[in-house]
Amino acid sequence: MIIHIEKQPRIEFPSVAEILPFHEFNVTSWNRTYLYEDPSQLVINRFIVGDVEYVPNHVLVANYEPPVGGVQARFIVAELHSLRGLMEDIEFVGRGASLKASKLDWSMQVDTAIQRLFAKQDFERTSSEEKLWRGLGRFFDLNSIRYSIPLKIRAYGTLESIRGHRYIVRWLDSGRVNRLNRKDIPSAMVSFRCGQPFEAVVIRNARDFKLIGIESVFATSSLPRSTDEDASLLSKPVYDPAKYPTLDWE
Amino acid sequence: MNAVGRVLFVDVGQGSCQVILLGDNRAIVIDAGCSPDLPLRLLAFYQIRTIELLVISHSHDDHAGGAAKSRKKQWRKGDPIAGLLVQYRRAINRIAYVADSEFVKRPVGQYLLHLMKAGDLRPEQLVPFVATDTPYGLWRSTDGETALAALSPLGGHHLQEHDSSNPNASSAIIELRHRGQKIVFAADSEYQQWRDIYRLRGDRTLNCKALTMPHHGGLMQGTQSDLDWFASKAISPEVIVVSVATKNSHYHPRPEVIQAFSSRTSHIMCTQVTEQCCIDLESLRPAVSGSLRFPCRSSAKTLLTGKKKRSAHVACAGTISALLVETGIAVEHQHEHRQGIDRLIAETGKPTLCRIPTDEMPNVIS
Repeated sequence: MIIHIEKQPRIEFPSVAEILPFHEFNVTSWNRTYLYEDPSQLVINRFIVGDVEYVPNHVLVANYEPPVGGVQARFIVAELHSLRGLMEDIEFVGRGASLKASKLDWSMQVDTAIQRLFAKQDFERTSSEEKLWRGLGRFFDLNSIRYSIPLKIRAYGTLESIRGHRYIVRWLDSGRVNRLNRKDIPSAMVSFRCGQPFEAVVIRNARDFKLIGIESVFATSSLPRSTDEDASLLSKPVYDPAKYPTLDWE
Repeated sequence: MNAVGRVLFVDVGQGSCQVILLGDNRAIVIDAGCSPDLPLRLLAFYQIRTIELLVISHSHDDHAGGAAKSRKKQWRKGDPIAGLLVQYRRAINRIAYVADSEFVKRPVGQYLLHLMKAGDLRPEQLVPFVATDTPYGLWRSTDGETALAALSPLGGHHLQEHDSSNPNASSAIIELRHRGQKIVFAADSEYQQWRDIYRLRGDRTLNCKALTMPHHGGLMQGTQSDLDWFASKAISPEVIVVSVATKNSHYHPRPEVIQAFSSRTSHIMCTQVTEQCCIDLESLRPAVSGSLRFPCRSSAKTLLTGKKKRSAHVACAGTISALLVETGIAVEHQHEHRQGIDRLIAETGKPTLCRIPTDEMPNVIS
């Protein structure tokens, strides 16, 4: 039996050189993979700025315009570029002397916009900020990003004991005990004796508050036992109660 | 709608904690519950940099955190308020508290003294509650539209209670006033305090948008007629918030307390659901109302604790939110909560505590 397979018509794509006169390519055809090999168009599936990893909901395609005649290179994601003007100083256009610099500039702008919005309560946002929040929410899972940012918090703890290479720490706020390895603690803590209270800057998971690490520690004194004189400091108001602003019942 | 603030009735389990987000990275905290993480986790999450006012209504551990029975146990249970002080020691404007003998012994009292001696806190930042016959102001917004007032303790006899075995009787009652509407934070107040408030108000009922149920919906010291008086005369809330844990040994909320209010209020919202409303609690996760919108103690994942592996921290409404808007106070997500309750009743075929008809209320648990 002879099976006839119809040949698909050949589709002629314009050569890359015709679209981008600034680059010379030896091309004979345009195929799908070439899109990703073409430095003028890049895909973004994740990027990291500081301690935050941004993973877009879908792959973003960025256009890169190399520097020409003193004009800086530009890095633009068309979908996000539509959100320009909603926040001061944020155009969502990365500028720089090279691909790397312009891409970095773009990612910093996205990071700045998101972090500024995180610092505001939803009821504080202006209408343009609210539009920007919704717009960015189409490309990023903002809630997940927010929960992925670790919290840096000051905490008061005590080094309860050292067992082998494990440092057992109890925290005042939670009463929790953490068994930490040497790699989890700052060097200053190695010289602490058992029972040493300290203050620390700790890094905790935003979702479940579990300890991720201890950034810095410094030894403090123990909380003193209170005396009667101390008790009077807390029980006698410095204010004259007559000076408390009185209100009516309604 | 334009809002100037948000009140969060935080789901901390079997405890009480409210956070008022004021915008501009500022907040007011009323009690800290007993959860080791909250409210510090919530404040850090919302990038709060200044606490305008920290209110500690009384010394019980479900409000002031930790357990102060012995110095050893203080450290084991932790102290969320002390944790707040460590983080915000140079960024707390005022601390209001009931200065009883227990307060000084607790880690929070000791840490306050430590901060004062270190110069991080000035004595004028401490505002112990005083006994007066009129409400007095604890905080006011710059535009004067929002204020926090202490309604109780009133009179010397309330403050004397704190040296007896009943710190509840000196529990502070705080009122948030915003554009003519109110939220009342009743902590663990007792009937005697409310009778005094009623009398000093000229025998007028206190109308409010929302009330945090005293004692987490448990019984106060008194009789059924005291409870009926409280629900019918002392206060008339539109929405009642009950801060309660799924697994609590006190059988909170008590059916008779819910019954006393259910016909007189438009909506009762519990932070967590208990076995009194549903047996198969794991199927309700993440929340009866559908989702967990704000940081809370409830868990979206399976959580079985104890020897009998019972469900713990299953949200009903979870952390409840009220917005301070131009027209007053708006408690959010009531509709979603009602729909969630309707779905639960339809699935189980059994009404929840807040929906049981009066004549079908279960027998009182003694």
